[in-house]
Amino acid sequence: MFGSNKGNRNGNKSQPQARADGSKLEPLSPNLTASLQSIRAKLGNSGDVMIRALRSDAMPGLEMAVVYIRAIVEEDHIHQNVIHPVMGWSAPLEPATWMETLRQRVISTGATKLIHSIDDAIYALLDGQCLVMTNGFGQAVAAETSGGEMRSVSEPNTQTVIRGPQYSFNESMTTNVGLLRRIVRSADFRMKTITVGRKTRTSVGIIYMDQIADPKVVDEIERRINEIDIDGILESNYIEEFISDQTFTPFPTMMNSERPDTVASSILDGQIAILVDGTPFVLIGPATFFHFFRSAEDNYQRFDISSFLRILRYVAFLASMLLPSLFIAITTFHQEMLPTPLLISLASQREGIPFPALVEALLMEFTFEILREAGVRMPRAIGPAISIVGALVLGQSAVQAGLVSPAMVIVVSFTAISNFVTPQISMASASRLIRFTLMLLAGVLGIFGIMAGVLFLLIHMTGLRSFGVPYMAPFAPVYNQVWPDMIIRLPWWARVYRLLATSKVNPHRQQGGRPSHQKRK
Amino acid sequence: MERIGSHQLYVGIIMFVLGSAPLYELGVEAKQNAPLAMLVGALAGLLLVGMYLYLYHRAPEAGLTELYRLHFGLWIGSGIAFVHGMELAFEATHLLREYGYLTTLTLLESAPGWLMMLIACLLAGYTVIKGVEVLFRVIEILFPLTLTSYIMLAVMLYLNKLPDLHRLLPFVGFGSIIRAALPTIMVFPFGQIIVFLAIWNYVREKQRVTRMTLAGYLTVTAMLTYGNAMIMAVLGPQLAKGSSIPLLQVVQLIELGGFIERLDIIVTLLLFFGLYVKLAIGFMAVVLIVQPLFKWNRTVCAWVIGTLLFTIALLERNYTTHVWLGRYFMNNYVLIFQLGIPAVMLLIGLRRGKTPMPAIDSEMIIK
Repeated sequence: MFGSNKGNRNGNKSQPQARADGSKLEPLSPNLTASLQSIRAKLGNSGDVMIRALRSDAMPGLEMAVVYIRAIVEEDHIHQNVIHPVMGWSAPLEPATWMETLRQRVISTGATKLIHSIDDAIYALLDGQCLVMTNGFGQAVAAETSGGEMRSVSEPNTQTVIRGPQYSFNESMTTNVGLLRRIVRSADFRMKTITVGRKTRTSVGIIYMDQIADPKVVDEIERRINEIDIDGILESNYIEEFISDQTFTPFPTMMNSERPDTVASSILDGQIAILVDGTPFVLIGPATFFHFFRSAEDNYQRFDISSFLRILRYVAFLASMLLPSLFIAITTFHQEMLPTPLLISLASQREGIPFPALVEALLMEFTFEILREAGVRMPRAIGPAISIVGALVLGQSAVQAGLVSPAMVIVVSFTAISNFVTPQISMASASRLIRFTLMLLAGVLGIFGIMAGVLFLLIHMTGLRSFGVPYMAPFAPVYNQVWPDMIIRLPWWARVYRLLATSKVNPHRQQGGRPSHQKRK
Repeated sequence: MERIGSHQLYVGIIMFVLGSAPLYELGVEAKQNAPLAMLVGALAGLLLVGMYLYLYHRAPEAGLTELYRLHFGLWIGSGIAFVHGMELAFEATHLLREYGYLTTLTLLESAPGWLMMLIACLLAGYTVIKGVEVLFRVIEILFPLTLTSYIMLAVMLYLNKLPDLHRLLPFVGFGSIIRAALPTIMVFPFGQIIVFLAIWNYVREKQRVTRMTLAGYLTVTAMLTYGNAMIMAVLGPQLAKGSSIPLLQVVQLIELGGFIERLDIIVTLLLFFGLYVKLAIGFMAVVLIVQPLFKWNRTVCAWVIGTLLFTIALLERNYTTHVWLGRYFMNNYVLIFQLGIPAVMLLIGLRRGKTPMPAIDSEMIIK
């Protein structure tokens, strides 16, 4: 990306721009052969560096060369807009201004730039630009020709909806920004680009709405990203871990999404999106705990069913975290809590089971986690085998063999299903980890242990912040205008306030109020 | 500096006063007129709270230690603050013991009480280290849960037709009501609001402190009186006096639709949360009082006080001693701090009148 060259590069010491005085840069030699030689040497004589010698009609005596790296450029583009015009240029010209003419009048690509040093030339090449060099000038013209094979925009794989837009981001940041721009056609749409990674020099884009996002948060995010000093950024989680407020917590403090509509609605709520080149998953922050239970589809369905589903998600999250531990605690310590018929049925099922409930539950939970991991990792073709082994051998046979009780299988599978309800996988993973700790606590201290664990989690969560926003907002602290929309989904005309709880800037989304035709006469 | 909002103060007052109060049927000495004793106690407590609020407004940015120093001078003030800190620490220890007893009485008969106390102490200490803001946010989260649960229990009592309002009659006479209310109920739970003298200075909007405190006070008085009347109307004076945790007894009577029963687990959890809130606020108050005296940082202070609380809690022998000690202590020593010293401060304040307070020495306030 061309825009990336203007980015802030405080943290990237390996790059030429970081040398403030610029004096240490090795200049391009006026001798064409010599500079081509040094470029090839710098790149280790790689086979994919293409050098094409050419001459122009206008100055037949002038040796020129076009340099590019194959597969990260669009060769058609180079042929049509660089090589062809240069060769065919016939107007008379002043030799002294040849490079300027080349840049401004001959080459017809989108962006061009004059380059004076070997290092800049190398970086331009690596960014997918092509260089036009001429004998006798210590300069080269870099023309924007980046391209190459990219996955096309396709349906989302992980965050599907029944109703709503059916396309998702791909691995190219340029495309992704375009997808967003096409949704939010506002002049307030802002993008800042930062290059991160000594070796990968990955473009990271901060996208937000001017006049809606808190400028302090934008600056803070920019500052934190600039502080990153690592050799490579391959996915947005690298950024997430570097810039989130606290590392040692099971709870994510940033959301991610591969859906342009989700990101668009987030930036309209005052959140800030972070795009990373090379991954379709866009980070969204600041995010409070309750943001993780919102699905894009909530906005596209009627408010009553959306509200129901939202509450259902909270319940499912609690179940996926607490259910096995509650089962252990009640069957081990507090049998008196159960109605007698249920107690008898459970007790008869557990008859002959060789393990205590805690061990039984841990066994089953681990089995499930292994099955799940296997399901993600295995080659597609083996899929059916895993489900047979999982469902039949481990479920049914384990019960028939008297190793686990049927009730435990129900509890574990219900927990597993509940875990898939949470729209954000990062939050679902948090509950998976917490579940095991709570199970151990329940096995040792019963309900008291669970309560202590939950209280600990509550204290921990209220202490968390996401870019300065309290994690449990809008409930602790209470923000009156926002909290109803976190439990249920209000009708659209009632959603007057932007969701980001602390958004002091421009908090109103709309005038609000019942549409005039619905008002009672 | 950390700041809490006025809603957090309101909720904090309610949860703090509620705290462990539902553990006991307060004012049971007045037999069926216990709810009236509760009201009288609350009225008397209101005077105390008014006095504390007056003291607070004399120096809204000062904590309790600074207040003592402003009124009694650096050395005597520090001495009083230290002794008051220790007295509050003892009250916190009392709560810690209650944690242990409540668990062994209701949930885990065979589990060692010290483990429960250790866990409670660690939880409260963790909150204290996290700070005032986090403490009040936790309370804010717990409040809706607590409120909904209590309301649900009240509704279910009615659905079961358990309360019989005739059990609240006949009237036993003013003498016994006042004997039951003063000073016991005034001191516990209402007078304990004195710990907020160490916390009020964290409130963001100074001008709303009085309103929010009083609103919280009235709400919690209504809740406590209502609860008290319900227990009395379900159990009657004899049973209420005889049982160790009357509220549990009441809730065990609830039985709906053949499968909603044994709700005492909910009550136990509610009591746990209440105790935790009270313990954490008490713990926090002790830390806030002691911190300026020794100039330790928050974490060190929390560890020292926490160790102290846990060690003292281990010393007590059994539940009977616990109840006796609580009563003995409340009746004899707590009044000095809740009524005596504040009254003296009030007099000093009135004598100094409108003349401005001596400027707060930067040595005396450590933020």
